[in-house]
Amino acid sequence: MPQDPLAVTYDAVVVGSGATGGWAAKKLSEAGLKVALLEAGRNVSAEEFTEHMPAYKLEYRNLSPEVVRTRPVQKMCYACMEYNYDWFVDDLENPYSTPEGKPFTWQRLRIVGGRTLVWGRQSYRLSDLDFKAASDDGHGDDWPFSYRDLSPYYDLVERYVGISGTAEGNDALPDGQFLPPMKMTCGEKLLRERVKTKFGRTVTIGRTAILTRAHNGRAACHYCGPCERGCSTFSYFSSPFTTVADALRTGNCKLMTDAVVRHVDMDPRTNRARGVTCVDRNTRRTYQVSGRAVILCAQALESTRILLNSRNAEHAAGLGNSSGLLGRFLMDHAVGAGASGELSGIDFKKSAGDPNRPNGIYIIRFRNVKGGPRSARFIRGYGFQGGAAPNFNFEAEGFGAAYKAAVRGGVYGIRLSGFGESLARMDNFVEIDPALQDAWGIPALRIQMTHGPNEAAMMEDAAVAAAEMLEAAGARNIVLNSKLAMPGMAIHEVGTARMGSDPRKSVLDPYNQTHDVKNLFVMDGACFVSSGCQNPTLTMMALTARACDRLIERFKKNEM
Amino acid sequence: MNRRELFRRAIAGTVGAAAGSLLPPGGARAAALEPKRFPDGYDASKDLARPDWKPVFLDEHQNQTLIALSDLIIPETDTPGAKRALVNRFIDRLLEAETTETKRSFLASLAFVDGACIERYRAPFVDLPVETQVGFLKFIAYPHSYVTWGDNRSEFAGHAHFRNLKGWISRTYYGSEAGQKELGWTGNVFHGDFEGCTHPDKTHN
Repeated sequence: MPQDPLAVTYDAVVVGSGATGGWAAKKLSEAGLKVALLEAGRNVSAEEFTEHMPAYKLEYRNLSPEVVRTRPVQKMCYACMEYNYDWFVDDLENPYSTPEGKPFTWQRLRIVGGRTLVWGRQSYRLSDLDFKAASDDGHGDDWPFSYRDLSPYYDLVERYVGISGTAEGNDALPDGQFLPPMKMTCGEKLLRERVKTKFGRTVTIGRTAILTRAHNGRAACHYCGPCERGCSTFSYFSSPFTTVADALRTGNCKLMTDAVVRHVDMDPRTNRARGVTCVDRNTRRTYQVSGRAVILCAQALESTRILLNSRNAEHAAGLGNSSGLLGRFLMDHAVGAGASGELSGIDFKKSAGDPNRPNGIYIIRFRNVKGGPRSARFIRGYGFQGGAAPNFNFEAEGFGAAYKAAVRGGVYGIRLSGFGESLARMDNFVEIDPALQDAWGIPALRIQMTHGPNEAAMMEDAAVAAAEMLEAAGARNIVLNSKLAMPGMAIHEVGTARMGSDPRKSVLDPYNQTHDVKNLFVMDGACFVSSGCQNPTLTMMALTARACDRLIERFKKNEM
Repeated sequence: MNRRELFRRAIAGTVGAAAGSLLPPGGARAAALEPKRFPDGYDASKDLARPDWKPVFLDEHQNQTLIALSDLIIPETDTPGAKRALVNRFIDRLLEAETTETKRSFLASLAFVDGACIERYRAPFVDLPVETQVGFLKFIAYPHSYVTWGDNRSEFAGHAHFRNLKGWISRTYYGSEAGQKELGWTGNVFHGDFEGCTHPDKTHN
């Protein structure tokens, strides 16, 4: 008779099955540890992927008002659509609050794989320009390790995930273990050449977690395009079909779906975590899962919410909060600024039947870098994501046969969008809203974040820099946008349980263990000390792998 | 809508509300979630071609006006055009599910067309000869400028209504099977490679 999974004391209880939870489950179960992998949502199957389904077959051709009605926050993300909106949380069931005039958009998925099912897949390393930024400009704190410490874990993750890209030899964006790069369009090569010649800046192809050749049992990308609706050939990295699958294959990992974690259970005698209390998403039944170690990988804000909701007599301000900094230093990249235009003189014929490259270009940070000029208006820096390609000209004037011809004739568009560092600030934070609960009776978050004058100045600079680079490429009809989008729009939220060597100034130690509870860990983006300007998921996965190696050592030494 | 467009809308304040304000004051509700699957052969567009189709949101006059407008804005040429692609039927379906605000916006634009035609020609749009219909559409299809006469008005209401209706018709047509095929879609989703630029460096023009 199979053992009741709830009667087992696991070596590790991992909360969350996305990018970091998948890695934690894989690393620990492959090391022989018994793992319970908890996911608040349902399981996912490749049979529900719709990347090859044309929109005209949908009832509302991907314009369904139901998506906006039930997911007014989630719909702000381009990836939440009529095809897949049930992967995203229902905003009516999963509320959070924000102060008047300080909106924050929080994108969440509750399903095995979490946001790896729909992520943008851009994968960039941070460098010591980021890890040691505070030493350079005096704002905030350094990370408690250097690039050299994390580099082997970047290697490990990249080799497993499969990151396509080009090595550029630029210290601000370290090279990695790359699969062959995707190819640039004519407009992008033109931009790369002109920008290098005129400004000395580097335009490179996006480094993306999409395979350009068969890799680790997964097929190469077939360029159908809409990865956010799933990938039947598993060419883009998503945890259910890689790390989680590996973990389950060991026989050491038990996946528990529909497990909405309410709080961490503590043993007050030993000051150790005993496991977690969950609410079954469907039945509302409350139950406990026990473990020798508890690892939160629920996504930065969700993990911090669990810790805040785990307050008890001994930890009255929330678990792991002796520093008073739990919830503080919320960051999300500054976005919204950039420029777009049109390129002329390039021969093209646009067709909806053409291969659709699910990737763009990246311009490596060039402001406030070592050896470069300093900006007088802001510290840190930004990179650009963008692309140049033919588009159909749906905005053509007029009507009739001429309009149809103009649509097909198309325009060769080019665009650059800035992604800037979001400074770590005490006054950007999350806390529990005493008056708001989710559909399972779990207290919800109140999120308070604004971008400051540094981010505003940075984005203004990014807009001008984008325009000057488009000018250099010969673009016309340039439109510039210099305003900041609301926090959360980058969907790169990090911080709120930052790591550090000093327990008075941080929540986690340098290996993601809470300073206050020796068998409690947060191994997701909550641990970030600063945001850099690079997409954070690759770094989160590398940090998880590193923290798990340390944890495995401790298990081997019987320290757990 | 791409991320850039979302950024633009967020900055314009159209999607910037805090989540808290979108939620009922009594807190959240829960609903059972089931995997949403599309069975093999699922194609919701087939229902639009039913012989007994009747509009569910538009009245008969509005429906006929929409057909006439769509036939002129995206006519049949070497490709089917909006009328044959049943653009009116999809718009009727979508409007029926849309918000009151969106419904009002669409109907206001449709009503503007009829109102302006009655004012000028003493007949609704659908009853006008085709040449008159085309002439009227040309009047509202382009932005109007009054600058040469010292007037600062930059927005002509007729053009805004035209853009609204054209947007609905164009989106619907190019989102239909016929429209997609016109744009080159073949149903082939397995491409060997993305070729990219094949020109030697510095010769992209």
